[in-house]
Formats: sequence, structure tokens, C-alpha cells
Amino acid sequence: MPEEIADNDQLYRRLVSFHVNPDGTVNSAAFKRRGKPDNSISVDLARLTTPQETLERSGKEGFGLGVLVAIEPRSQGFDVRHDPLPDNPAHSLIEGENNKRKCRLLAEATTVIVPPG
Amino acid sequence: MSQATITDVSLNQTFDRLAQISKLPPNWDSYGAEPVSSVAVVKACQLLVNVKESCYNLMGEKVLPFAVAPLADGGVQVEWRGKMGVLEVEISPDGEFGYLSIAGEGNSRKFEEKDRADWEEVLSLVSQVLICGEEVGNA
Repeated sequence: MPEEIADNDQLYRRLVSFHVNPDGTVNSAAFKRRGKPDNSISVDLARLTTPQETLERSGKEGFGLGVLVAIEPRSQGFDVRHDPLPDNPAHSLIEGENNKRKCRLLAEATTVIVPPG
Repeated sequence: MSQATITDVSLNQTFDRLAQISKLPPNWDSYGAEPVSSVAVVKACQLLVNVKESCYNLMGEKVLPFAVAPLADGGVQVEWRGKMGVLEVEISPDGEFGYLSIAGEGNSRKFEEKDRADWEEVLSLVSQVLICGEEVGNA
């Protein structure tokens, strides 16, 4: 059963080392897909998982973890909704019309909590 | 004091990073990313060399990009930062340019973005970001 996501809910997004800038900030490339800004971005709802579980879902080592608060994408016009999957009950989506500017703002709103290995 | 020459600024570190990016396997981001296209990598190298050649005399080592990152569709993104703004250049898997230009700071920042930009336009924007706000000849 999907849960309501509050504005102050935290969202996790896995990050590769190439998407963390030299100053520790997140590169907007982390939010771009398929040649265009991503209109449906997968994240995990933090209160339904742990940083470790989100990292382990990658099936590989070396990923980092970024966190952003739901109100940030919502303030840019995105919908943020819980979209549980059989193998990931925390799976959620940031959905809506995206562009390069919004990708940049999403990246700026994301804080690295586990640096990539 | 001896004058700096263009060979004093090396792109080797950036090229090494691009070489690593070019070897990324499918699903390198764990969200289904494509391997990075060799066309995008070569185009990124050409752009970096052109920027160095055209801006080095004014900017010295500031011609080096702030960040180089792979894109999930198989493209590459290169970012330059200057005192007056930021420029993100996206290179698609088939070598097309797009960009996001950010001028100013804080809440008064101005954003401009475009797909299918041409070579001259991108080079001009990089020059503007690097040179704006700098004193000519401080390299």
C-alpha cells in the first residue's frame, strides 16, 4: 500500500563517484537520463529503509548516497510519490516535467551522506 | 618571472577521467545507465583542447573544467565555473551539444538552456564564463 510522503520526508538517491564534484557537491548529471532531464527519478523513502539497504540494492560496491528533502522537488513543480516495488518497499518517484535547470536545482538540494568509495 | 606557456596547463588528468568514463559498463549508475559513447568522449576531448587553446592566454589553468561527468544516456557533461557564472555543456551519445548557462548568484541567478547548440556557440559561452569578471592578462 503506497504511503503519503510528507514535505519533510527524506529521499535517498545512490550516487556514483563521477557524480560527486571535487568540492563534495552533487553534479546535475546525477539527475539526467536518456539524453534528457529525467521525468521520473527513482529514489528511496528514507523512513522505510536504511542507507545501507539502499546502497545494497545496487548489487555492487562503491556507490555513495545522497539525501534530499521532498519539499525541494515539490517546490520545483515535481510530484513526489511512494511507488513500492516487490523487492524495494521504499521505492518512490520524483515525477514531472524536468529540464536542465531543475536538474541543477535538484543536485544543489542533494547532500552527500555516504561518499562513493 | 617567466611567462606561462600553453603547455604549462595539462589536460592529462581530465583525459584520464574521460578514459575511465569511457570504460563504464552498462548500468554503471545502478538505475539502468548506458555505457558512455566513444563519440561523446572524443567530442569532449576536442572541446577541452579547443577551450584550452582559445582561452589559455587569458585564463591560465582556469581553462580546466570544474567537473567532467558521465550521463546516463551515454553522453558526457563538462562544467566550467567562473566568477560570474557556470556553464554545463552536455554532449549527447551522438556528439550533439546542449548547455545550461547560469549567470549571477543566489536568488537572482539567471538560467538559460538549449539543446542542439553548435560548436561556435558553446566555445563562445565557455569563453564568457571563464573570462567575465577576470582581469585580462592575469594568467
